[in-house]
Amino acid sequence: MKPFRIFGTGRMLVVLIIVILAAAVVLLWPSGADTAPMTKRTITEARVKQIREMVRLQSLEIYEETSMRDTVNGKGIFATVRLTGTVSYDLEKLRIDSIGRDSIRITLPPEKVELLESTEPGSYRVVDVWDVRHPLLPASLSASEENTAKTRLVARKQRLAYDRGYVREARAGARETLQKLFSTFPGLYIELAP
Amino acid sequence: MLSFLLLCGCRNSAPEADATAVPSVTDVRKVGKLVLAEMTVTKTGTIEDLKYSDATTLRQKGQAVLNSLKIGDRKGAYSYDTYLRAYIDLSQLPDNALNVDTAAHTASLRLPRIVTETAGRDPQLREEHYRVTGLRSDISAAERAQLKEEMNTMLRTEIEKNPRFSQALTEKGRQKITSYLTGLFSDYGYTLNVTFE
Repeated sequence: MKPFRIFGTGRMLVVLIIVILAAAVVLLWPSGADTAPMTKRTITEARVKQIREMVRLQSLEIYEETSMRDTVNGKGIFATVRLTGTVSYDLEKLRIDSIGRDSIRITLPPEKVELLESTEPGSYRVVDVWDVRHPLLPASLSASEENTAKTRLVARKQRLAYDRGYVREARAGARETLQKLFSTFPGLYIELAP
Repeated sequence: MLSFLLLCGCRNSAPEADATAVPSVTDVRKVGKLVLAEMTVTKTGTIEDLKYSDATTLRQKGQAVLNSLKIGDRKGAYSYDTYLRAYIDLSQLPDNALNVDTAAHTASLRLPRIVTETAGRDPQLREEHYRVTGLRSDISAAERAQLKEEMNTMLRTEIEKNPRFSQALTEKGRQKITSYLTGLFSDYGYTLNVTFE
């Protein structure tokens, strides 16, 4: 007696082809306003990791819209990035020396130049990723390779903050603010170290 | 075809570049902010292929059917930190903010109110988990960027709707500036009373 089989090899192939064709039709059908993502994304609620106390005088803010073009491990990336930066001074490391009875000398600590990615919408967009050695093959950049490119970009922009004189400008601004702050104390003579 | 691909592969590889191609737009602003507290907020998100039960639109359902035919799994989890800050705008400090009684060795200081802002986020994403097997394609840089964008949108809404973030930061900032200034004045023999607008 011949065994009863719902899915023989031939039928299985036909069903498979029908399913693929149906899926292709659905995917290629003009979808209008259908912008639903094609992957499942799950996002957890924000978690407070740390709250740090500080007394930091921030005297300069930098906002930069730039592009990132870099090659890591033979793979290229081109992206647009918005960065926000600050130049600040840790006032808990401020040196205050008494000079005589009513004079003090204030020395600013070294500056902290910090650059972060902006939280404005669209602050990081990947335009292109390619394989430098095999341009016709699809390229995939890993998260750590992408992070390497981003770390280099931030380091380069931090160097530029010095080269463009932003840090010098920030120091002058911080000195001016401190002078104003401390001079509100009556009878106190302030001297700011360069 | 294969030989053509190999031919393309034989061209000189470009050196590891480290340069920007498009001129940047830069804005530099002088400020006088006294930053008193910083909160690190972590957001975590995952990417995986759509299952039919998760699909809502026709296109998603079609994609889910195609996904079910592929062999393997495709899952990734990523996180990053965003920084919120509490600060006093020193340009709002009035000229008569400080009153000193040199005879009694006491002083009172009225500070502008503490405000909070989002300073920015880490450019780098932490890869918490990555498992792509079988015939599944790697999670691309564009997909990670899209996930980060969605996490950012959600975080902005959470911060806006939930005052616990700004309240906790403001309180920490208030405590910090009070203890810092009280200590500074006591070094010079003065007792300071700090109030806020």
